[in-house]
Order: sequence, then structure tokens, then C-alpha cells
Amino acid sequence: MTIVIDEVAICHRNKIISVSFSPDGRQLASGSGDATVRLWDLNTQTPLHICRGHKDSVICVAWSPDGKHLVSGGKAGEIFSWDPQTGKQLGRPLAAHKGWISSISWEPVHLNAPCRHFVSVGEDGDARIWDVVLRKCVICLSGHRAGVTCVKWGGDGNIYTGSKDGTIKVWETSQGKLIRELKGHGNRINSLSLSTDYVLRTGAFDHTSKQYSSAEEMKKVALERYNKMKGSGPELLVSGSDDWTMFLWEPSVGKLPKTRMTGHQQLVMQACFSPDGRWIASASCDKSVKLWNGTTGKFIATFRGHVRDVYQISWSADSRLLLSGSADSTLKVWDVRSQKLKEDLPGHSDCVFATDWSPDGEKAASGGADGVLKLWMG
Amino acid sequence: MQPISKQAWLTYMDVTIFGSSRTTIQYKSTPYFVFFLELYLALLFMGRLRNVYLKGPHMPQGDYIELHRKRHGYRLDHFERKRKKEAREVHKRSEIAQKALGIKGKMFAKKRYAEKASMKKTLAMHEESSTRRKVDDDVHDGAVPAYLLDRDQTTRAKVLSNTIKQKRKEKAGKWEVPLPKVRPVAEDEMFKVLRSGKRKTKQWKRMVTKATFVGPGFTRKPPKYERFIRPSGLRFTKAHVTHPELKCTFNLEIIGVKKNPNGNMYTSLGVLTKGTIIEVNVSELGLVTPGGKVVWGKYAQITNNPENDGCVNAVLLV
Repeated sequence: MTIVIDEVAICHRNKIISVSFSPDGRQLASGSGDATVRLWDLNTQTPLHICRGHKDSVICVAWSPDGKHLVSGGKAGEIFSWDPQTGKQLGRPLAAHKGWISSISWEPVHLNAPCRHFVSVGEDGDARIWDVVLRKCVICLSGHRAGVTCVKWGGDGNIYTGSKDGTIKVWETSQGKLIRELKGHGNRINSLSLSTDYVLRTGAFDHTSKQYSSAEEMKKVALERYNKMKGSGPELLVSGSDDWTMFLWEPSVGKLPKTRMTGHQQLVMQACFSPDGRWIASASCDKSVKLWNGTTGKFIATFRGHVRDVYQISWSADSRLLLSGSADSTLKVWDVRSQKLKEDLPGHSDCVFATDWSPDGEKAASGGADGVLKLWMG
Repeated sequence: MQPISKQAWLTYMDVTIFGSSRTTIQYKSTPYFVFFLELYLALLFMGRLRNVYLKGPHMPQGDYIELHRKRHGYRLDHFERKRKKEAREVHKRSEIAQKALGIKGKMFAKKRYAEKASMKKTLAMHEESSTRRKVDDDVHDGAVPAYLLDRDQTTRAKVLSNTIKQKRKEKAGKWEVPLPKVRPVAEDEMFKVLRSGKRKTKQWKRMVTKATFVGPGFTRKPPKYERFIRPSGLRFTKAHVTHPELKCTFNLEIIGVKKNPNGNMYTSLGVLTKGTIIEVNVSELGLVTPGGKVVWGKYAQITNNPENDGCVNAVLLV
């Protein structure tokens, strides 16, 4: 498989900060420093809609697992929701956060269909659960002593938030109670990832690109997929931190970490589970990407090749390839089986800030400080 | 005259009075001149006493002015004179600044410059606080992802977009450089003739008087046949290289001397003069070509006179 660059489009007037494929892999949204969200037509590779409304740069974009909603959080602290079909803004912006929105996560579709709730976290240290239909904040989860950097809505209905105060908190979603606090990290937490991330993100969609008529059917299929993925064991959570280490947790079992994963020589920017849950990949500022066993947390291999900080990584849908984007303006594709560099993808002319591999596995997208969105095809 | 402390003064007076009374008693046996001497001393101290009473015990000079002002007020033209003096002060200072020569002039100029800079700073600070800045609605330029938002970032990225151009130029041997013209250095200035031989009659040895770069693989010839001597005190292996776009400076290793504008011989000798193109090791900068290759060496031009400054400053050619 060779990866060819498929499109070079000067799309944004400013740096691209976030890139996200829709759960069915048919659409792509990108958020940028020029305060717009853009939706892309992947068949013709042209911009489809430009969503204007944000006052400052758009930091995160998140698709609902049923693909019906797109929400974006900005630096000014407001959240916009968009209709992905028309690119129109739905209702007024949701404003309650006082700092920038650092991450957004949707409620899994197997818990509630059609998707209504999502959780956003911000620099002000709060996590807020929003209802897109009622257009208001349902519950505010506060307790962190510093800004919250990342959030995940788990498959068993709990919310995990990682914060700059070095703790991960587990929240119960019906009343917003704090269930447990996972302590261990000595510095800010940069990323969280669940072993079931991929199924939670894609919901009922899989590689067959089957469409579902009713929400009930979607929920049923999604639950099936989730249970199959999860198997008998509990859901695992991996957290990467500024203290150069990662922890593997079983948050539904107890508050003690399963393993501590050490080895990086700089802060860990991102740690993420492969779609099948067997591997964990971590990107770090020590210019390396490391591969770990997804169940035990054992170290497997180091991928070296980048010459600057590695910011983002994303897995291919079949968990065989890993894409890493770095500040040295290149992307690199790593082969997990041979543990070698598979493909070097130059093309950007500045730092690569965001990478995403589409859930159907055919394309990957990357955006960076040069304002160009690049789409890569296998 | 040394002011006498009170204690000493009192004892002295005591002795004198006692002495004088004693002289009255022993009047007949003492000679006259002793009596007069003592009388004289007593009178002297009476005078001193009077002075002490009037002026207080020996004040510092400036205090007399204050005392006078307390008693009689300011001179009538005092404030006018003061104002005029202050007004003339700048002219006076400028005259000094223009006239002062040598180290005095340098020191004076430095002092004035420091004063001016600090004044400008304070002025700017006051101005900033008085003019209320409006909230800018337009988008900030430095948009970064959430994971970089509150970190200190040094902007060192940027791909070298013109690598192809560089190659072409290299082939043509032409360079568009920051310092296009340099002062030609004469051979007399560049080399010092060393005499050799038993009678010091031979004059074929030369010592390079400029800074040089000597590669790590250099092996000396036997000293007898060494024509050019490059003094080890003037050798450099590192240069302070400024990236003109990123506006930051790095201390980088020199790989080689690419071209010395004064001639081919100097290039091969590795002479570092102003305007020389050197190759530096930029691997730690993490620069990448459009093809995704890591850039290892890059050219830079020397901007200072290394032999005078003791360091090599250069600007990267991008």
C-alpha cells in the first residue's frame, strides 16, 4: 500500500487545529484558527460548507456517533452545533464555560439513541453535560482544581475527565456525582483514551457502510458492537501526562492503576488505543512514538524518525497502521507488525496539528499551521 | 581645626581655671610670662565659648545655609535662579556630551543612553495604562490546538521552501547574500611573515592573523614544511547563527568554510572573515525539506569580524 496525497487545498486562512471524520467516514470537518468550521465533500474533495459563527479559533470539533450532529468548541468558550447536511447553525451558541473549550465527547449511541447529550470540558475546570435538543446545560460537573484538558464518555455510562491538576475523575451521568478519583500522575494530564474508543465513536457504523432507518435499530446494533468489542473484561483507560509517563486504569473496577508505563523521555502528548484495543500508541515530545500492549501495558517498540515533537497520532481502522503528525511538518505511517516506518508523508510546510484516520479506514486527513488540509488515500 | 569633644573641653577649662587660681596664689614665685600665657589661653577659650554659643558646635557647611534660610527666608531671586539653572542644564549637558572625548565620552554617552531608555520605558508604560485598549474582535494570529494552548512554544518550525533554489544557486556559484559587499582584505593584513632558518633569513612561512576554522580531521604537516600557521587561539568550531525568519539565534557547529570572498586560497585555508559563507550543522533545529528529509547542513554568512570579537556571528541563508 502506498499512500498518495490526494488533494492540496488552501482551505483556511489560518492554522488548522482540529480535523475529524464523521462516524460513517463520509464527511470531514475541520476547525481552524480563522474561527470557522468547514465541512468537506470527500468525493469531490472540495469544501462543502463554511460554518461561521465562532468569535475565536475553533479548538475542537466532535461528531455525534449517529452522524446527525456536529458540535464545535471555541477558544472564546462557546459551543456551536451545526447541521452537517446543510452547514447551518442550529439555535444559539451554548455559552457557559468561562475559558476555552478543550475537548468534547458525545454520549455513546448504545446508551441513548438518537444522540442528545454531549459533555464539554474547559479551561475553567468544569465539565458540562449539554442537551442538543433542549439546547441547555443539563449538569455541571465541577471539582477539578485546574483546567480540564480531556474528556471521554465511557461505554458504561461514566464520564472520565483528565485535568491539569493531575487527577482523573470519574463521574456518574444521571445526577453528576463523582464516583472516584484516579490519582497517580504528578503533572497535567494531556490525553485520555478508552479501549472502546473506536466503537464508541462509530456507533452502529462499520466498514459495510450500512445505513439504518430507525434510531432503535441503530442503538441495538451499536450495543451489539460495543459488547463484542468490550468482551468479558472491563473497559480500560489510558492516560498520558506531562510527567512523561502513562497509566493504564480499570476505572470500573477500582481506583488503583493497573500499570504505569514509563519510557518516554519527554512529556506524552497523546496516548491512544488501537481500534481493536490490542495496542496503545503514545506520541511524545521526545520525537518518538511508542507502542505498548493494550491489555498489559508492556512496552513493545519505539518508532523513531521524527525530528521534532510528535503531536498527534491516529490509528487505521484495521489497527495495522499508525499515523503520526509532528512539528517537523511531516506525517509518518508506521507498520505495527514489522514495527518499521512504512511511509513518510511530507507535504505540509509547517507543524502538523491535527490528524485523523477515517473510521472506514480509507482515508486520512491532516491539518497544520500552514492552513492546508491534506487528504491521504491508501 | 578639630572640634573638641565636650568632655575634653570641660576638663581643659577646669585645668585652666584651677591653674589660674593657683597662679594667683603662687603669684610671687611664678614668672610674669606664665601668668600672661594663662590669661591669654583663658581669653582664647572665652572667645571659643562665645562662638559655640552663637553657632552651635561646628555644623557641616551646608547646614549654615539651611539655618540662614530658617532665620531669614530664601533669597528673593532664589526660585528664578533655580528655574533658569534647571533650564540651562540640558544645554550644559549636551555641551559636555559633544566635547567629552575618549573613555570619558564613552562613559557619558552610555549613561545618557541608559537614562533615555529608562525614560522611554516609563513613558510607554504610562501611555499604555492611560489608553484603554479595546477588545479586539478579530481573530488572533497565533491559533494553536488545545494541547499547546498554555505551553511556551518556540516557533522554530517552517520548512525551507526554497531548497531547489539553493541547489541551483550552488551550481551557478552565485549567491544573494545579506552582506553583498565586503571590504577586501590585503595579503599583508591577512598574513604575518615569519622568519625561519638558523639565521632567520628565510621568509616563506606565513601566520594567518584572522580567525580560522580547522576541521576535526586536520593533521599537521611536519612543522618544518608547514607554510601556513593557523594559530590555535584564533580557531573556531562554533558559530552563533541567527535564523532571519524565526528571529532567534542558535549556537551551531561549523561544518566547513564554503567561500571566502577574498579568494580561493582563503577558502581552502578556512579563514573566517566578515562576509564568509560557512556551512553550519542545523540538525538540532529540526528543519525539514519539502521532500520530508531532515536538513543537516545549511549555509550562513558571517556578519562580524571574528578576529576582533572573539566569536563568530552569522546569519542563516534561507
